[in-house]
Amino acid sequence: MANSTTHRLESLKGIVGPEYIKTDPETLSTYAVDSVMPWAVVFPGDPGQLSEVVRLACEEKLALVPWGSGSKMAMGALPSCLDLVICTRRLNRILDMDKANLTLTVQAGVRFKEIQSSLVLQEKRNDRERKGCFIPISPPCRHSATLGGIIAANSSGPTRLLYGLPRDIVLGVHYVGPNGEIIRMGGKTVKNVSGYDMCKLMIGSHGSLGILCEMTLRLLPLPESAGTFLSVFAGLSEASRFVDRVFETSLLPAAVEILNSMAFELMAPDVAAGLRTGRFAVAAALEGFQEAVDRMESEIREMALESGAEKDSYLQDHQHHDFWNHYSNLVPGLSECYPDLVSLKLNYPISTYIEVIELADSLISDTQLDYALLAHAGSGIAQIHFLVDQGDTKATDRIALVAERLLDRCKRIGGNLVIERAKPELKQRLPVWGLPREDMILIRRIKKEMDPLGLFCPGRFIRGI
Amino acid sequence: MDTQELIDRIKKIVEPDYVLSSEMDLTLYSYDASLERDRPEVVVLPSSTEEVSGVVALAYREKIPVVARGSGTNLSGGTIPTKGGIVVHFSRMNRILEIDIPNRTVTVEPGVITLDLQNHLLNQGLVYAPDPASQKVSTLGGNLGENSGGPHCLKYGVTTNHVLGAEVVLYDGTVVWTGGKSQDHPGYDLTGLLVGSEGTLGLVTKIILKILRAPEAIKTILALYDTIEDASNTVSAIIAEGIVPATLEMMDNLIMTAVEESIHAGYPLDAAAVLIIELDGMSDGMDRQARKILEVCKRHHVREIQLAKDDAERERLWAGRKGAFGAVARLRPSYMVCDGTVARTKLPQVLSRVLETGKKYGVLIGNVFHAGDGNLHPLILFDERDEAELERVRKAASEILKICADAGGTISGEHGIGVEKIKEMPLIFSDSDLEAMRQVKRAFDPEDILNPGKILPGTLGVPQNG
Amino acid sequence: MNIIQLRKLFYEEVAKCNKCGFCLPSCPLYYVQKVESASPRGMNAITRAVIEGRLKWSPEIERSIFSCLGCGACTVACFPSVKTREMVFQDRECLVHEGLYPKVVDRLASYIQENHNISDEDNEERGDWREFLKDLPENNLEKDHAEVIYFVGCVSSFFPMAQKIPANMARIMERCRVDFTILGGEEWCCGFPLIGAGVPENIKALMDHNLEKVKEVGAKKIVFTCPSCYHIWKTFYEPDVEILSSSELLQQLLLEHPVSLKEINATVTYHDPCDLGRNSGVFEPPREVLKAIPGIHLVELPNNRQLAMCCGGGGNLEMVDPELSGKVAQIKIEEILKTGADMVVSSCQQCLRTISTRARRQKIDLVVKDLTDLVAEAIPTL
Ligand SMILES: Cc1cc2nc3c(=O)[nH]c(=O)nc-3n(C[C@H](O)[C@H](O)[C@H](O)COP(=O)(O)OP(=O)(O)OC[C@H]3O[C@@H](n4cnc5c(N)ncnc54)[C@H](O)[C@@H]3O)c2cc1C
Ligand code: SF4
Ligand code: SF4
Ligand code: SF4
Repeated sequence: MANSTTHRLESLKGIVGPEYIKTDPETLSTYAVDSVMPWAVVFPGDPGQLSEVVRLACEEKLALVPWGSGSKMAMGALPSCLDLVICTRRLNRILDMDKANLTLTVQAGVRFKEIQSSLVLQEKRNDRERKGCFIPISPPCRHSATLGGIIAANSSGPTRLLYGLPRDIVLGVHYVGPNGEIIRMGGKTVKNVSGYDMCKLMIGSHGSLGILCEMTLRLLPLPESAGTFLSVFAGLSEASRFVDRVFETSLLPAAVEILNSMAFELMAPDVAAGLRTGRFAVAAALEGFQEAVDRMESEIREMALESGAEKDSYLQDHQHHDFWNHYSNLVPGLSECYPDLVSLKLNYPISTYIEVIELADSLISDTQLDYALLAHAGSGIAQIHFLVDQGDTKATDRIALVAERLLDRCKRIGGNLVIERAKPELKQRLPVWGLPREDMILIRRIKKEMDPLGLFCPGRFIRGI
Repeated sequence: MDTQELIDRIKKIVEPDYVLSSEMDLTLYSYDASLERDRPEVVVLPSSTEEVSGVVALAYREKIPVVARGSGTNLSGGTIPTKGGIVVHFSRMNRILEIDIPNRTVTVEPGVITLDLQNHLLNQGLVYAPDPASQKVSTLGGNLGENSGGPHCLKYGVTTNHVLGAEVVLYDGTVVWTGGKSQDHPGYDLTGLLVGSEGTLGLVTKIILKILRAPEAIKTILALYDTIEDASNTVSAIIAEGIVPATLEMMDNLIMTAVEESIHAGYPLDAAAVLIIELDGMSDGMDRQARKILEVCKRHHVREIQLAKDDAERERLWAGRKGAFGAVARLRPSYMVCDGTVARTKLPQVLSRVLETGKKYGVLIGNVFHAGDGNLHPLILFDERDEAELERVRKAASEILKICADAGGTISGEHGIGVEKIKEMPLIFSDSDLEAMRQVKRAFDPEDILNPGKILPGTLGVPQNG
Repeated sequence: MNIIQLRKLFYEEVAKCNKCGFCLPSCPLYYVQKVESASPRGMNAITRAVIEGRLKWSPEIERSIFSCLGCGACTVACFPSVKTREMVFQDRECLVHEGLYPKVVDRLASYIQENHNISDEDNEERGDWREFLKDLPENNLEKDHAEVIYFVGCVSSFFPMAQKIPANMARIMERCRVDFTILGGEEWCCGFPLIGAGVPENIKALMDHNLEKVKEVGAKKIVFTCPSCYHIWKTFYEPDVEILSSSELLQQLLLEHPVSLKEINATVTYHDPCDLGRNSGVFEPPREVLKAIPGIHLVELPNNRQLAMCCGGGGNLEMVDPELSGKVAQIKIEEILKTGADMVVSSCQQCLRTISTRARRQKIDLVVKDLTDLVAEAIPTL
């Protein structure tokens, strides 16, 4: 046994170089997945190495978990077994930044924030200015998240309202499948119907079918102007009246978020100062051509006032950016102060958001727990973060109860509830990925075909596949 | 089971009047808008999911291929029953089941005609964005099957970006829903896989589509050029200005001439190329965008610019574009469309190689395409009754796809692989890539019942049909 | 007609069909039946397959080809303008040649042969509609010489439901002092039904007779209330006199004789008869006439003019498959009802019959009028 382990280690070292494989306890504990420690962590330096690592792992039947920056490793059920963590950190090359064609090809370990900052820059070439562009998604944890992780986790954020989801911008992917083969799907063109749309399969597959190593994304020109309109309402009914009115118009806000007072306070302490609990805030991101943004601001303000806004404020320039940066980094920030943070993601038909938020609000207020609620109003998604004090063991029971009730309701109206972050104790008590639907038979069949040995993230994804 | 028995059994599932098997009917379901031909054994027009499920379950038990068909307008042979079997024509399942404005969705049966839905929605100020030029006749099931695109997909995305969920009859007749009105369901994006799968993964019996509010303002600009190069450069330059118009369509002289003859859209006959540029969205700032576009056009030596003054004029400008494929039949009776796609900036270079290819094989080629997306549609014009010419056409078409692949593009942007482009699949995919797709096919259709012989070259590695 | 001749005449034409399917949504048959054989693309494919020897004439083909309404909507929708309607008529000739045709064809042919009209009545009864006229002039509207011949057509002459039309037409012309005559028993069927039925062989005799009569009367104009007669005269007869549809004549009359018309307060919609509108290009005159009547508010059908959908009465379908014809009429009626109009006006006795028969059978409350009926109502002293 020991022999084969040494042998494996040597082989892996041979592939990535001795300095890029770690087996020391400290590193291993940093890369523990839901407290399960791997046997080793490898850091392949290019897709070829990645491919060989996976090939070896398959030969040796080692269970693998890919790891980007780790920002979403809390997602998923407990691994049923774990041998190797494969970290994509070193796959960090920008392969093609084609601003003229508005496409970007990068390796999986490239960090979102870094690449986004270079995209937005304006360039001068041949005396002509080329406007900046951007990746039109707004994922959480944008400071640390890698693109591979973002795509694998199908991360999205507030601006999905206007710009869509990862599925709308991923044009091509390369991934390493079982046997270590590099599979290339899609391409660089916006339109592509050659063969099955395998990119869709990889987006949101959470590493259960293969390890993303490269991806091509569609970019958009940077909007000419942007701002954020914040308003605060006495309750959910006033806030939702406002939101519904906005959606009845032909205005096209980039994001419309409903925040409970805790979430609002965390993100905009200045505006929220002195806010009483029970209040709801709405944050609307306005992006586009100058004239359109100006009009949206004035019409939306008017609608807010007519709907009974108690307070409003308009953020521009760095204030606007800071706000949404805060938004994106809420979870990493919170998890520093609250290591036991529990995060739920609810999905439901767009029109039912009031009923879902009301239910959540009333269930949670009984628990006496602090919680931040953020809902993408036009998309039917809400996030609930329980700020659990360390060592508060009773919280787990209470949260489990709330989550069950919410899951039940979401399921009934055609949605679901995912536990995005929680201690293993809680994860063991609840279906982490919500309740499966009738398409589970297909999901199982795909997993079985594409990962016949069950080595990619075993146990972690929906129903333990 | 012999064919007669099969027919009798199907007649117990679907109303006998809608089970067709005469020589005539089999001939009439042996074609689509491509150049391929092959006859089914029987044609069925079901009226409900249950009937579809019954037919598929029977086919599965008997190992008989099942080919879904909408209006049969696809251009890649996707509906040709190359291995015989049952054609399921969805024309009777054509109800709009629900328009859910608060959830911004509409639920339809697959046989609903794209434009019928769009007209229906427009009455309520809503739009379903994907607008293939064939929208007047194509079905939403077919659009889903091919992941169809259209002019407005430059801004709004193709069919897949608008399909939220589907009810699917699986290979053995099981019915499941994928996706739904709520977004972000945990699990694989099966809806995303189904779109563009050309009926090879399942038969879709209901579709949930995303609807949008109709844009508040629209501006349509026609820009005429003396060289194709100037026109193509304009396309990239507009986007570089930070403007993504709703459409950026291009036609060359040959196509304009054909269109002009058939509908008199008012295109000049001596221009080398025309761009149809449309802006839509909020009215604010649109004039300024239009001015910017005009500047870009001028910088690229535009010869003449026309602005649609009203809806009627807009219709007129578009009518020509929408009818372009059909109109070329005035020049030669048959056409083959190559649907290659390249990065926008590669257009001038690729277009000139396409024209060279035409000369090399002595075939007539016209170009009408979604320039903004880099999606070319070189139309090779010929007479399919002339076999020698047909052979040259097939060679030229294959070479054009190779040109696109070599330029880093792909062999189909929106018309699908079907049977027509199977042999070009290895131009862009390795064996392992194809094997990964076969895995998906096997997961959905382990015995290769559903539209066999499409998309994937080589064998599936499953028991073959008897 | 046989396949060789068909090939000579139509192979090039049918090869233009590239199976794009753009014609499908405009074909009323496809709309109702939803199968490829009931579509222009399907009929073209049949023709082509038969020409190329891939398919043999069969009873199924007979059913398909004889169900075409000849409405021509497909050709308008078709970018290469494939002439499906004309091809279908030739196919029918071939089918007849093969003995594959609906029974009514024989009956129709023998009636026309023997009676010179499409009914089994004596042609002398052609003028029976005159009973509707209160003060019939002594000459019974039959003159030896007149400036205008009113060609009544078989349907209006023999089918009671349509007989009001010639009566009203005659009244209006009398009132406007038009020097006109009818041909009475000497008016023979124009021959259109024979073309539609695939048995055009005997049409020559009918044409010769009718043309001879025109010469005898020395007329300068012939006016028609039946669009199909009008169409056939325009495209086949080519006489050197002016050919007018009732709507064109009415338009002229209202211009020349500014009669003060009574007000009729109604919202009407206008159905373009296929043979008058799409197939002969007469779209505006009937509309101008309607607009000339005070109080009339005209609302258009969603599919109007070139795009108008057939009422179901075209191409002999009513005789061949009345049920199918009725189903097409049903769609037409639904389209009409959606406009919210009080009545539908057409300019064709066949449309009038098809639409009102269906409405009556389905107990749908719908007022259907011919343009002549409405104008007659609006003329004060009539
Ligand atoms: C003149 C012309 C112009 C065109 N313009 C465009 C264009 O601009 N953009 C574009 O993208 N395409 C275009 N096309 C191609 C074609 O119209 C589209 O591919 C269209 O989506 C096909 O629709 P259909 O109903 O005819 O489908 P069909 O051709 O009948 O079927 C297409 C595919 O979908 C599958 N399918 C059909 N129904 C179902 C179902 N219910 N479940 C599962 N699978 C199903 C079929 O098996 C087949 O593989 C054009 C074609 C023509 C002839
Ligand atoms: S008849 Fe015309 S419209 Fe119809 S399929 Fe043929 S070419 Fe297309
Ligand atoms: S003439 Fe009319 S009925 Fe006949 S095929 Fe054409 S559209 Fe259909
Ligand atoms: S009579 Fe004329 S020609 Fe008629 S619309 Fe009605 S059928 Fe079509």
